[in-house]
Amino acid sequence: MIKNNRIKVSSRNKSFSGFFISLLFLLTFILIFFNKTDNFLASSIKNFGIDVISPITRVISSPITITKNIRLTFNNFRNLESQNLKLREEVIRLKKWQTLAIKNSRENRVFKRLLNSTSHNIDIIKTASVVNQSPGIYTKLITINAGLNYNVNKDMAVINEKGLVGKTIYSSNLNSKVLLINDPSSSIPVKTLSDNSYSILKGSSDGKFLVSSFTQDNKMPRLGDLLVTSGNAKIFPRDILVAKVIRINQDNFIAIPYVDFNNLNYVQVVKSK
Amino acid sequence: MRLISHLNAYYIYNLLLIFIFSIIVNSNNLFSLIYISLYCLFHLLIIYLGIYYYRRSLYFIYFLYGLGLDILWLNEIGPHLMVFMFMLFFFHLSTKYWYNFNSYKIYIIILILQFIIINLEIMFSYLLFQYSISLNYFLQIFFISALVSLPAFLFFSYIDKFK
Repeated sequence: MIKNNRIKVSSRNKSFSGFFISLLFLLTFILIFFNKTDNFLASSIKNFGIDVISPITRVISSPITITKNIRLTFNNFRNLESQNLKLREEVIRLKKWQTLAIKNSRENRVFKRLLNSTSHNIDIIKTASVVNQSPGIYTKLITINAGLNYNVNKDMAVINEKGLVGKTIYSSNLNSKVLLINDPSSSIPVKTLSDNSYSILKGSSDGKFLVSSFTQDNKMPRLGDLLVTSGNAKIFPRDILVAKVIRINQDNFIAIPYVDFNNLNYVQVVKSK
Repeated sequence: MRLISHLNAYYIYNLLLIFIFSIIVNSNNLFSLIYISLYCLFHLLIIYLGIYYYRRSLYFIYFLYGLGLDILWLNEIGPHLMVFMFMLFFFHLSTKYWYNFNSYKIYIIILILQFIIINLEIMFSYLLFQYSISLNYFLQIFFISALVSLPAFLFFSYIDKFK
């Protein structure tokens, strides 16, 4: 009797686990299908992944982060003296620039008043910190700790103190994913500062450079030209610094981005005013 | 020490898997080489666990890891999830044929399997979402896998002693 019961229980367990595995396979296909069709369920799972799994994994990997920070602090202390000297020189140089900037800013204000012009300043939605950076094997993404709760939506420009970083491609309640400009699938409409010729840039396959995918009238920029956003795509506000042209080929040109993508700590989500 | 004595190899592997997963999805400013080594190690561990410690609960664990990697890396659902699930099913069907192989042959098989799995992930991410991978990354993964594999297997065989 006991033996019969045991056989029954074990066969019931087996059939249950078989059913559970089949369900997991079915769920796999359903999720892939829903993801392709931008279904609500797929979005909810992504939301959950970004808002819940990310903080947990951050806690688990905190020993590595702490070790890395200690190493960084130690290196900073080691280079303290040389950095201090460099900074002193920098302060002297910047003071000269500051005087010039104040003078220019005053002049600018007066000219604007004379011309009755409106400025096209950008609106800062939120300053956020980078909580996660994808390794860059498949895509070049970062996750920032601002989402729908701070009115950060899809397709908003993201900048830092050096220039254009990327655009938001997905926003959950607490976090947002940002596609970096050095990703091969990104597309940034830019113009040169020298002659206002328009082109579109995308990331190179290794993520180190930006390559032009389109140039208006095949007009190539000059070596060393600065590239700023043209404002054509309505996502990126105008005149944000993007890159500097370093090589010109027969049918495209290569530029080096101003932003250091290996040292992204804080970014700003912005939109045109 | 007492805690370790209560843990068996299966649990240690799972703890290791969670730890490596957490590091590779939070790779903020980590050196690229360390990161790729951990990425290779994660795949080796997934294969090793699937071959030597196959059990039905692994389907659920691999489902979560596949989903997690897809969401946190690609912001899409598909390549890792699909490959991990089918990989485990393939191991379930095929491991009985490998029992007679010596350790050297198994080592080579696991290495080849790893390359196939990573290639499949790359292929699916391209087919489903047009994500392409640079040759440079691919070669790095190839060489680092080969370099990491031997010390990793030695470490795994040490963990295997915790029965």
